[in-house]
Amino acid sequence: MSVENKTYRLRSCVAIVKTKRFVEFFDSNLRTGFSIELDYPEIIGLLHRFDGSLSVNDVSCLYPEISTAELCTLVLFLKNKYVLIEVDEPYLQSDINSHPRLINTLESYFHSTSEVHRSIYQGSKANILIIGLGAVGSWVLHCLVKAGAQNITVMDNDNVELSNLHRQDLFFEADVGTPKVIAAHNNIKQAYDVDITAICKKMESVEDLSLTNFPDLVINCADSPSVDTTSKIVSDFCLSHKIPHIIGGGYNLHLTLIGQVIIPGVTACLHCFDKILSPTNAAELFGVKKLNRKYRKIGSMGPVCGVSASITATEAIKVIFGVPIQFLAVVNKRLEFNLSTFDFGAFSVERDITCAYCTTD
Amino acid sequence: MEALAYDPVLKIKDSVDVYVSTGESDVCTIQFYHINTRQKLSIRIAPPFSDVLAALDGLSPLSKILKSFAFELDSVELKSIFEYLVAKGVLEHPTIEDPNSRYSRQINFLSDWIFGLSSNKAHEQIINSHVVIFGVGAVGSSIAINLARAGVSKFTFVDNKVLSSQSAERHPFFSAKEVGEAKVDALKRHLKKINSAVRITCVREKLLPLTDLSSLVDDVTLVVNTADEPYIGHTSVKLGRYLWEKNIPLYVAGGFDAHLMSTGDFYIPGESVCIDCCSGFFSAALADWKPTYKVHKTNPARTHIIGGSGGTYSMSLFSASFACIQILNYLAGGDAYKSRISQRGEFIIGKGEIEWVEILAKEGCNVCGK
Repeated sequence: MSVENKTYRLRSCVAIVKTKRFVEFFDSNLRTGFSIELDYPEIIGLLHRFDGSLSVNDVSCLYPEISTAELCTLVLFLKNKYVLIEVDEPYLQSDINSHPRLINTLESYFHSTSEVHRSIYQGSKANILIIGLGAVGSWVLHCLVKAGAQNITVMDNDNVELSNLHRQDLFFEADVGTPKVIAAHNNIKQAYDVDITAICKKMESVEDLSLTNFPDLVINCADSPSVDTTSKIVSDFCLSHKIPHIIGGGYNLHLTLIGQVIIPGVTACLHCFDKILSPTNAAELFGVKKLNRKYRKIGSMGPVCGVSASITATEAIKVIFGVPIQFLAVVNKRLEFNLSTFDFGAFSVERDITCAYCTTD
Repeated sequence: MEALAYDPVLKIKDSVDVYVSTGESDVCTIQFYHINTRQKLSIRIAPPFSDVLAALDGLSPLSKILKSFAFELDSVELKSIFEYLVAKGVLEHPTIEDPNSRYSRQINFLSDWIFGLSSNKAHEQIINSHVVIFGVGAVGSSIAINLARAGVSKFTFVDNKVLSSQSAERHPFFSAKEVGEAKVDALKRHLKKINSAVRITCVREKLLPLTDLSSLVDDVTLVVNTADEPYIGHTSVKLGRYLWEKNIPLYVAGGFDAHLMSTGDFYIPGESVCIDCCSGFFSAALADWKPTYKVHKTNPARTHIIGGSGGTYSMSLFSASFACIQILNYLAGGDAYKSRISQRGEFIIGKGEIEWVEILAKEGCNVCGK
């Protein structure tokens, strides 16, 4: 079908500001925008006509002073910029009723309603594996359930402890003593009528991950014995099966770390990162070793983990719903949240195309 | 070995990393790094001392720990080294009775985030706070949940709305089964499951221009505003003006439509700009920016605009969590919250960065005089 016969809708979250020579467009969901030079006084009224029921031809008839070809060019341009969305398929009323905000969120990433619909379907069917139900894992799990993910598997062998409650989501006083994965399963079932698969096990090797059915995304939120160890296991498994994964956050000195999203063969993998990070760490520690302390419990606070988890979950949602990779934020970098300045910094690492672990050959 | 007169219970502070040099047989260098302040300290001592250091568990007196070692150590030297390390903030006499108590990890955290008062006192300030939250939607409820988990023991919630089928998309833990229930009541029930001792007053009212605030907010520790009808700017002005007079701090949270992942700001007399300066600042800043948004008549949803505001729960959680970090720092007696006072940040979801705006007071304002 040619452009002139297609139907488009101006997205209601896009702010349009007209000045004498320019028209500025601002997507208030993503808070990004652009300007074009256009000197047509009726431009806003024209764009408002695209209500999702009129074809470009229909609108063109209302503005005879503009050629259809010119209008098509403008429409295509604005569609590619996510200002107009092609309405080639109506949304399901059930989706409109239950997930209107998800639809609106996804419209910033796709060019047509059929693509958004496919994305919603893909997301609901995606298999997700979350390792570790601690402060970050529990919040991430909750966020993904609320986003509409139906097939989530969680792996953790700990029981809920009283000292967890101040920072971990999903668990209540009544859950103390229960295995975390069971408490999470029951509380989520009760609140949302969604079944998650609970595996009461500690991930200690790649073999442990082979027990799960092949996930579309693995998120590592486990820190025992260390974030490095668990991240390496997840990385080994996911790189060999080309599975997108998000590896750990954790702490480094006074920074809260938010783990990177890894799309194998596309974005920097754990080894690409280690290559750059290791020399930095090693130089400082040459000839020393860390004192082995059994009784150490690093301090933690709920909302700090919440900030980390919310960003990880938001990135995970993009992966789960098939959002194009260019919209991912925490790729080829690790975010660092500073608790004194309340600001984010990033440690960037480009993918090493010679990396033996994530090569596409 | 003679009985030690010096027999404390000691542990290495959890927020200190410890490294031991290898290679030398009769002396070693031990380096201590404070995780949060990045300060370093080095000492050179005989290797057996590092074994004793590693064995300090914060529960057993020193004599009991020394019994487990075959070697003997000079007690005078031991005392002087350990007292030195305590003075340098690397070792501590444990202040938490039970390391597995409900808030032990948080108190640990506070010991390196709040300075000027003990971590136990800082935590007590959190516990003893009375927080009022106007608007318990996705962000307001998430703030309440986080603060309740952190130990805040008294709340008042003000919101007249009931849960609808739409709420399920972004409200924490509210589901289809609770449709029709007042938001404040459902939230109270949820918090009681987290902490049965929490005390909550539910007020099913909408914040209006003529609402009498005195019964709601006088004598409280902090007020949080997320009430965004008709517009968060208006509700914040009403609250801000009243609370400034009463010297009660106000925190206006982020996370509303078009600002899905954003930080909030404090209004504290003597520290921040006042609410009117803030409104004035944004009115002036946006004076030339008059955007139009189109709501189509073809919109297929009754209660939401398809093509309009998006937002996942994870985004609301971001704004709520950020708010709670600032709020808890303030309640605990910290200084860090001041680093962003009178600043508002938008977390750009596609970049992973915050864009900050500094809110400037009107020149010669006789309320905040900044």
